[in-house]
Amino acid sequence: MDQFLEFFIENAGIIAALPLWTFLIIIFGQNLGVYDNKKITVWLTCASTFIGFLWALFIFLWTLGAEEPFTKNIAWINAGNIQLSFGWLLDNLAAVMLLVVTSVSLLIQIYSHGYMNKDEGYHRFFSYLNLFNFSMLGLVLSSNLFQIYIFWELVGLSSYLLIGFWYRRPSAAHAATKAFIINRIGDCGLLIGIISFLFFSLNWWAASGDVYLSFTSLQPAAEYVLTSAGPIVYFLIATAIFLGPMAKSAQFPLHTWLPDAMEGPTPISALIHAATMVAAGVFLIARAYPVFEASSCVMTTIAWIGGITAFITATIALTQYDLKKTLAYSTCSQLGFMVMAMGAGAFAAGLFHLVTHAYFKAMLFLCSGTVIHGLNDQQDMRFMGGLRKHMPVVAYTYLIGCLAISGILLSGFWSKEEIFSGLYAGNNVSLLSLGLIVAFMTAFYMFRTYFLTFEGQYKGHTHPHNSPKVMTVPLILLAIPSALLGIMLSGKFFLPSFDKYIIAGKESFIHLEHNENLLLPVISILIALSGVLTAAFFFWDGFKEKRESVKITADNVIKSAKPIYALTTNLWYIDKFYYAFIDKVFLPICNFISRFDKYIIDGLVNLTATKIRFEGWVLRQFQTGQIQTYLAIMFAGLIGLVLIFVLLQLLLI
Amino acid sequence: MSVEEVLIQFFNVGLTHYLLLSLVLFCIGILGLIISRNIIRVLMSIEIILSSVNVNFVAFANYTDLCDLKGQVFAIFIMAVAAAEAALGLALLLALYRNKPSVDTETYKELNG
Repeated sequence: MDQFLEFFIENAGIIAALPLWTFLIIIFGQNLGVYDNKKITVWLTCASTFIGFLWALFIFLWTLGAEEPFTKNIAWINAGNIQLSFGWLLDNLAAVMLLVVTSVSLLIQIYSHGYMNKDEGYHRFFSYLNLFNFSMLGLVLSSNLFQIYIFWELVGLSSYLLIGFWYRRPSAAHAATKAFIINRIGDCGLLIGIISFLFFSLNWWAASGDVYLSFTSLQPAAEYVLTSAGPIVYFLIATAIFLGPMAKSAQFPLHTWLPDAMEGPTPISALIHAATMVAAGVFLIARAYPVFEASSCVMTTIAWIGGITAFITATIALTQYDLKKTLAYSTCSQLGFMVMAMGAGAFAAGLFHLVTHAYFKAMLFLCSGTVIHGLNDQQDMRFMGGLRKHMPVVAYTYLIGCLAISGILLSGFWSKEEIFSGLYAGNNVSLLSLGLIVAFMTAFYMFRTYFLTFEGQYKGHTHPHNSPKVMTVPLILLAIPSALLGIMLSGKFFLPSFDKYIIAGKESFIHLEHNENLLLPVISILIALSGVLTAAFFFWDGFKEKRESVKITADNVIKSAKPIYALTTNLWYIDKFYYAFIDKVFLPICNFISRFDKYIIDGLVNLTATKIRFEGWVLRQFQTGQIQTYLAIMFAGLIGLVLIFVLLQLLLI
Repeated sequence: MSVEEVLIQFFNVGLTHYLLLSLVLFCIGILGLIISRNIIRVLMSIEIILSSVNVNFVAFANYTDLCDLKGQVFAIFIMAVAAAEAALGLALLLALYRNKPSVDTETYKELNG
């Protein structure tokens, strides 16, 4: 059995290589006009992802029995005293991420066949999906910081291509550019962080014999950097590395790209901006955890940025009318939860939430996609309602997703529990209370979307139609892990507990005890239920008479709290601030610099040329073309020579 | 030196006087060559130069080479060459005049720049 699994471990790179091959086949097949049948594309894609999923299963089985992670590296760049390698690292974390990525990818690819069937860019869509798959799997398998950076950028590129898929739409093109630029800012910080880390730890890597920047040796390397660079510089390096996840996982203040990224097709929002790409940031934090752990200032910064993100984006989600935008802000908020957990030291809790979130968020997005598809691209919730009668499957899976995300007994409950108990064990009371407030708001706005979309009267204009099986079956398949994954991985059944599984074999600076006290779970369930009830009170038709009798309706609350409402509807003015900053500060500086470059620097270069031209002009004055002038000069020269000759004679005598 | 000795030296014509004449004629010729606005005048100045050189040669022949009179022989050579050169110059001038009907040297600035 072990030898059988060894094959899968040794060649794990094929998981990432298969989507790359499929990408190339589709690209060349389409551009050279080799084939036209959509079935080939979708079967190739699904086959490569399914093989990847089976492979990931085998790797997972191997990790259950292995003591040490497996690495395989090829020497790649050898430049003086820097030697970079390329390879893969298989440990528990990588196995879990591989399973999540391949399973969610597979279901979304099946769904996309139904969603994009009538689109003219069908093949292009699937080629981009394969490119994304390749980048994400490569990122998960990466063995060192440098390689993960390469795949990090590739994932950002795939995101750009997919957000701007309908490129003829100006809003989509703008959203894609915005996403790419904001991610670039994060990438810049990440690169600076990686390079400065390498710079300070170069001697250590040369002395150890390990792959440079390898994840397995990051802890001693981080301690070395801390002693050699000092705490302040180390804080800067670690913050620079954190900038990468901050942009990729949409943390405040670099979160503005994620809601705009909803311009892309809904399967993309589900795959990239809910389940996998935004999880890459949290994955990097997990991989580079020793770097962050070495400095407690960095950990508090990370935790607070996560908490602030969770709070701000949850408040914005309360008042959005667009279904997909609400889900996008909900994603930001949950990512804030994950980052907050990791910053507070609850490493396993953050990752557990990542896994459960991937499934239920993907399902929520796919449900919203089905709804939008059924209403002929109507995204505004004010024109939906009562869709439970028309699309029952979607309604029930969406309900499961809402229960999961609110943290009521389904998988989200278990992962949120871990986060809260981790925060409590680390004595982060303020973060814990922030988390509980955000949990209340999460329950509220998610059930608001449920009630507005699926209950009540249909307020729209077009007739809603149900969706084909190819779109509803993935929803059902995703509902199963959304509901049950939490219970399965909490250690109460035959599978190992998630946190023990993830931490196995890792030494961590921070050891958090798992709290068996029942107080915290009960409080969080009560808060979530109160959120549900508040949403029902405002938005469910069953309570309509009660609402009117007490005169507290949603509109009244909005009117009475106008400034807060304006703040949330205008997205806390962050976007406006950025645009104003670019217009008023950044662009004038750029104009000044560009004019400086054009007139002064280029002017200096032109001055050299002008000087030479002037000298040429001076010399040209001698060439009059008149022979008499030439003769005059000749004669004057002759006289001069004679004078000199005579003078010399006189002097010598 | 007294006034008498200067006057005696001034009026006793010798080699120096002829050489001075040659020099002055040469300078007049050069001056005319450089300054003239008319091409014919330039050609005439060239003849003046040549004749000044002739005077120079003949003067030297008379005062230093009374045996062979090499200078006078050479002066005849110069006269022949001068005649040929004058003919050539005038022919060139005629060709030039046919292209650009002007004898003003200011107009011959094609090679300007």
